[in-house]
Amino acid sequence: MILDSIRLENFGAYGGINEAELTPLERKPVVLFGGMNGGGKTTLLDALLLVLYGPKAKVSNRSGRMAYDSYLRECIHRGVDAGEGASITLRFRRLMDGQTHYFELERNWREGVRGIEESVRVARNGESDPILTEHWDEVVEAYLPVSISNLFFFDGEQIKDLAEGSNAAQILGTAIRSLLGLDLVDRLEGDLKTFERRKKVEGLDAEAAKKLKQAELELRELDGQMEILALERGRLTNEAGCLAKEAKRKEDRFKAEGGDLFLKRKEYERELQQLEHRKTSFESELREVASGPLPLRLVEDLLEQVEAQVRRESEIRQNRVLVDALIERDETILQQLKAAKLNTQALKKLRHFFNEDRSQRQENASEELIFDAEPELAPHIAHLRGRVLPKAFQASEDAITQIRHLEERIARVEAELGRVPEGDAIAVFQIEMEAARKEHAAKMADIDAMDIRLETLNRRREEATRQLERFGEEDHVARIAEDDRQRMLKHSKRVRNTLDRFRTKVIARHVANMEALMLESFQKLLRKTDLVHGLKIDPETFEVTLQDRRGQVLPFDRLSAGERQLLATAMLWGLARASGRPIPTVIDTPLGRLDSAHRAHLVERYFPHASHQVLLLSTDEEIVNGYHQKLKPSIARHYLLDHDEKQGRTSMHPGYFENV
Amino acid sequence: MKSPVETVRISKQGRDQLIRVRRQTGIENWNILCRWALCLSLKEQTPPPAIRQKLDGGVEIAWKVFSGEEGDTIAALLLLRSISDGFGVDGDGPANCLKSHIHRGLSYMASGQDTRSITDFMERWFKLL
Repeated sequence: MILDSIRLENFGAYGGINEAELTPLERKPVVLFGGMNGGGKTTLLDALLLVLYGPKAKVSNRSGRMAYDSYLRECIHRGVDAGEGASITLRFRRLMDGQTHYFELERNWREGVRGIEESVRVARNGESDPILTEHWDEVVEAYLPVSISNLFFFDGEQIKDLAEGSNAAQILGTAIRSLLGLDLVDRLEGDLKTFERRKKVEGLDAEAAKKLKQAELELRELDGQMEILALERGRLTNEAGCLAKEAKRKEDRFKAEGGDLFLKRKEYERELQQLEHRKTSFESELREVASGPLPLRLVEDLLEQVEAQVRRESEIRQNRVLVDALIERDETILQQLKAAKLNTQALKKLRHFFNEDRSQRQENASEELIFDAEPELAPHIAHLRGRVLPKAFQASEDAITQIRHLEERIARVEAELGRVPEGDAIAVFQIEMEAARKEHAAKMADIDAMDIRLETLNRRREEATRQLERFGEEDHVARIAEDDRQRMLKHSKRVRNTLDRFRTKVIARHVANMEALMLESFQKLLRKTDLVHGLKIDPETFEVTLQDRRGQVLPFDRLSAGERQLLATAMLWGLARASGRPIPTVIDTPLGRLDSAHRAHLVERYFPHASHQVLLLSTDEEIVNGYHQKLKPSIARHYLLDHDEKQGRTSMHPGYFENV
Repeated sequence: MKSPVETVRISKQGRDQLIRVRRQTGIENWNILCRWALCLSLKEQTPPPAIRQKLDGGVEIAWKVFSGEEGDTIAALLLLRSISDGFGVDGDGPANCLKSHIHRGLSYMASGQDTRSITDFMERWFKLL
């Protein structure tokens, strides 16, 4: 990674736009910034950290409590309206997959209506890259995580903490872990611990077991209840049976005393009425028939005689008329025949015949007439005899048959009615019978009610059985879950152990390398070449121990303050080299309070070799005069951070302190 | 045909008999009952006894009403029986014949205890057929 330029706009002390080119030149890795304390020197380092890490940046002037928005507001240059805002733009390049990519990272913010509005913009190779823009935090964390940023970008004065103080081991530990990517392992371990904690809290679902037991109890109770009810029902059924018998007995007695008939009286009466009615109807019919010519049937033979007589008299009358006419007629016929020459014998016979015939008729005609009836009387009587009277007779016969049947039935019904006893006598029996029936019906109703209860209970029992099954299942599931839980806890613990061992082994493997690099760096920087022969880092505690030439522990208090600072520098340098990442080194106040003896080594042996790009932010009492001269061959550019007291702003422009 | 009488008259006794039969049979009209009486008597071969009683029963029925539709038939019957019974066909012969037969018939009808209904009546006389 090479930083190409940084541009500040209204950031901190830097009013307006200030830009510095940072690209190193061949064999000149150093870019030297000169500035006074409080004049924006440290601000430059903060700018670099802020643009890269935003809220996570470990900047110098933000306490842990200060809200990010407030910090941003603070950073807007005093001389401008907060609405205009500030911005930092960093251009850098990285070698990725054999290709160099140029990046531009801009972070700007302003005071808006609803507070501080911040935005980040990332461009790659001249084009805006929305993915990088969106996920910048993750991107930078993947390449240069904030936890190791202070290995590369640090304040020279504050690195003493690394050498002195109790948290040296902690800082070193953090740095080493970050470098080795063990922060991931730590995080995983932490997650597992949380997981285990939660799992322990879960515990066995006692609920399931409790519910199961409850369901069992309920079912048993229901069974008990059902048994009781069933017994009860049996008892009721028996009682109902007895009552039924009793009711039947009363009924029989009622019947025996004519009870049934008594109830049937009305029916009988009605039937009787109907029968009488029909009989009356037929009787009317019969009378109707009797009113006709029917009585004449009694004198059938007389009618025959009359008919015959009428026919006879008809003939007589006819003859009386004919006889006279025939005399003339006969004579005429004979004359004609004579004229026609009929033989005399024949004529004689014929005359004889005619005479006989006429004589017979005459005889007949002289008979006495009894009647003076119309000739139609004969066929009339014939019709009477043949049709009318037989028909009437049949009709009367039919009617008589019907009436006799009806009379029979009437007699029977009357007999039945005759058997019907007086109301009062059997009233008592009727009352008793009805009472018995009522009792029986009530008992049957009781049984019905009982059946409904049994039905309900049965349904509940079924429900309880189903519940029991369900809970049995749930309990079973809960037990399985418990087994799983125990297993998970066991495995989680094992994983943690493994991670622990992994961590230890990883550290152990790399620590040797780090020790060597640190020792080498340290020996390069120290004046006393023979002081330290060994450097050991405890892989567990990360405590550093030094060894003298005899292999004995060299306590820290044997080192001077300056030597301890050098040790710290050496450790950082060693770690930076051990990281394997080509990251620029940025040091604020590089020489700090080191005495001249130690300064020389830093200037000669460290700064030009710290990295491929080294940014130094020096005061006017550090890299000046002789030290500046010594460093000059490695310096690519100079920048002066010029603070104007009157205007209250710092500007950055090429150049350096004048007395150099 | 010439009717034997213009009005049929019944004696007191005959009237009582008529009333009785009317009660028994429920036939309300005298003419129908008299018709039955006539036929019942005519059925007997023997000649009826001559009527000596006065016909002052108060019951008078016109011949047309008495004979209904069979005026000629009944007149013819009577003439025959007048001859065979000995009443003769002249003068009051047929009339007497008629009177005698009717009254004999009425006494037939009214006699007997067990004629209590029209049905009994019909059954009784049709047994004769």
